[in-house]
Amino acid sequence: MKSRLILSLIAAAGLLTGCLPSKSVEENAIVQIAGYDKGEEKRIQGTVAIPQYGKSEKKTAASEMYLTVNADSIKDVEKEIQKHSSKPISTGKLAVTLYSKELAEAGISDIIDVLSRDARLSRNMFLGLVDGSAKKLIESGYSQDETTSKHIQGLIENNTRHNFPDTSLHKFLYAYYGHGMDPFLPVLSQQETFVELSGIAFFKQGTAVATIPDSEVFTFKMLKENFKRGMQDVPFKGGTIMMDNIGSVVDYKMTGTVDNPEFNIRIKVKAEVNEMVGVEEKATPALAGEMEEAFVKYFTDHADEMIKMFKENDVDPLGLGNFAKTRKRDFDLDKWHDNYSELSINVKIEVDITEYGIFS
Amino acid sequence: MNKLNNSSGISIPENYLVTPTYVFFLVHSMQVGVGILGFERYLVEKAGFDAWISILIAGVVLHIILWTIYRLLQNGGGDIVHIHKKIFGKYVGGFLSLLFSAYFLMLAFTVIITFIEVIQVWVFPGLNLWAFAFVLICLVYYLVSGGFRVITGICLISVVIGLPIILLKYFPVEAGHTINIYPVISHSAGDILAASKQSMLSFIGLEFLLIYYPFIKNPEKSKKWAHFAVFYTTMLYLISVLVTFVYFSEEQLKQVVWGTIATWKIVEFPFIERFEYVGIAMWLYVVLPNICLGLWGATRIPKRVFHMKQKPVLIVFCLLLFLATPFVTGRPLINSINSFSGQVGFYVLLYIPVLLILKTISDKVRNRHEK
Repeated sequence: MKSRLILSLIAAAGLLTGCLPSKSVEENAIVQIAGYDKGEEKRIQGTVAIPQYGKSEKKTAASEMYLTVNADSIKDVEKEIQKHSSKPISTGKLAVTLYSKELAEAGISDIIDVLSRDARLSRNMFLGLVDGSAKKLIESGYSQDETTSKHIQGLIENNTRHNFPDTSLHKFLYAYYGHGMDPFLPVLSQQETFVELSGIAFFKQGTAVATIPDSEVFTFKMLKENFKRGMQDVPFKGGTIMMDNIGSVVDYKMTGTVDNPEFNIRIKVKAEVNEMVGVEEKATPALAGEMEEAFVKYFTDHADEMIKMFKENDVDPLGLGNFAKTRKRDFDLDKWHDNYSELSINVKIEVDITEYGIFS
Repeated sequence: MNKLNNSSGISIPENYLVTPTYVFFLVHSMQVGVGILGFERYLVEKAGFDAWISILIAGVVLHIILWTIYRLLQNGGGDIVHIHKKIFGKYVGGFLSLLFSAYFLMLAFTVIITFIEVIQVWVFPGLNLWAFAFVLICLVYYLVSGGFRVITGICLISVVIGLPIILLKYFPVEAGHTINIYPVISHSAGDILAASKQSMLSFIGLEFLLIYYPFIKNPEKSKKWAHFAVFYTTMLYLISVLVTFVYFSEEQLKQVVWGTIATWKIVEFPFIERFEYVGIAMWLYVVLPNICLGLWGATRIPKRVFHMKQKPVLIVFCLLLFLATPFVTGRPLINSINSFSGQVGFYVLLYIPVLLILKTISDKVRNRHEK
């Protein structure tokens, strides 16, 4: 009796495996990068790159197929692409999604809703804005050895370890849905033969409202999070010195009342200076002191300016509202928004230059 | 195969008993089930990010209820059927016991449909419900017909298999923001208690002691293990809640249907891109004891009330589950069934102290009459 039952169970398990559609990897069109542009008449133009794993003998070049469609919605893009593809589309390995700046400035709230709803998408996926056309950026090849999607994924991943703040779909959604904070995304722009990260775009409710160029990104990252790498050049005595960050720590403090809060942002940076261009003086302890002062002045000015810009655009990428919420029991979000433009935020930066390289 | 038929009375032959240590696994594995996958959202709706305090309150309440259960059973001499019969008489008592049976069956049913929904949403949208329900219920039938000791074994396996999943909490914590939990206690006591009640819904499961108590060898010694189990469950829920609070922002979590599975989503290993698939597959072992023990309890009660064999009841109940499962689909329906069975479970837990009071009174009255 028992053995017959076990036998029938094993048989059922064997037979039932045929009940679900199964396909091997080569038979799927695995979308790894997708880009969205503004199409004609409120439509969306979607572009995807699908790596081709062929039987060809030439293993050297990574080949990709590009498909571009016009559709009414994100899911419609998927449907339209399916029409162009000989293999079933699978979006599970989507690693980078790009939006054209034009589209983001018109608002991408609907797209964000799809991203947070779809169980197949990875939360570690990178989102980015494209200064120009996402289609063109995806379709230009950049590297012989790797596909465009791998290249752009690597580009963002590598840069978030240096000057760019940490970014991912989850981080974006976290700030997008959270109260008292606004999300931001890296901006990519295409040059003649390469693509680069050219800045950061700040969002207000799914609409890109402001950007900063890549020269300001280091300052933003310093305000936003603790990190251990990254470089920033600072003008000094007619020349330029390059600061190599080896440890930056940021700390927010809130004083004052709920109606009239005051923020103190303290940043402590440990740095090395490895390069001085056009500076005629010899490196001495006195000069180091002057350098530290120059850094402090540079960063304080730029941080103040950036915060002023945030206030003007009413965006809060630093999450100060969220911070205030965790410090005050009777936090009122509407009141916070009303007061945000007059909020006093003091940035205090300490720079400590510890080393000058291995040559004195 | 006929192991079920031997124990007609309350005294169970020794070879069907389990040692007191196993009560830990029985209680804990019954408490942890599908609830833990998505209970965070409901707590946050009630008490925001203060809801972790509610978990602790619920844990304390559960310890009290557990104490009541043991109090009830130690003097009661047997299981819930016996106690009901002694207090309410043959007919009313029997009816109340059958209500318990229906409740246990409903718990098993809720677990099955919720787990199937998880598979449908997260892994296979086109899952063939009939096929899956058939395989699952065959497995459950096989295990339940093996008797109580087999079910205890499944409970042990489920706890062991569920353990490594706790390690995955590292990833969301690493990506999290610990300031989210502050300020501590910004909600009213009413909100926090409402969330406590809500969290009780995912804590239910210890009431099964009422039915498997006679199967425990040296039951007095098992008390300690049952309390350990409740404490462990409370800590597990507390950790889960804190991890999701740290990982999501408050407004975001209110929209995340399965908080715990969503935190698995960022886990990436070189050999596996989507860990939630593995997690959900492993979770079958965690929910399996819920279904088995639920069904066992549901079939044991009719056996005790009507003095019939357990196996025909088991077959009927399995068929019922199999026929009903594929018709229950869609989030709203499954959600309402879940909250309904949670509500019932909450009242069952509240009923236990009442039962203890009634029993104490009836014992006193009986003693007086005997004098």
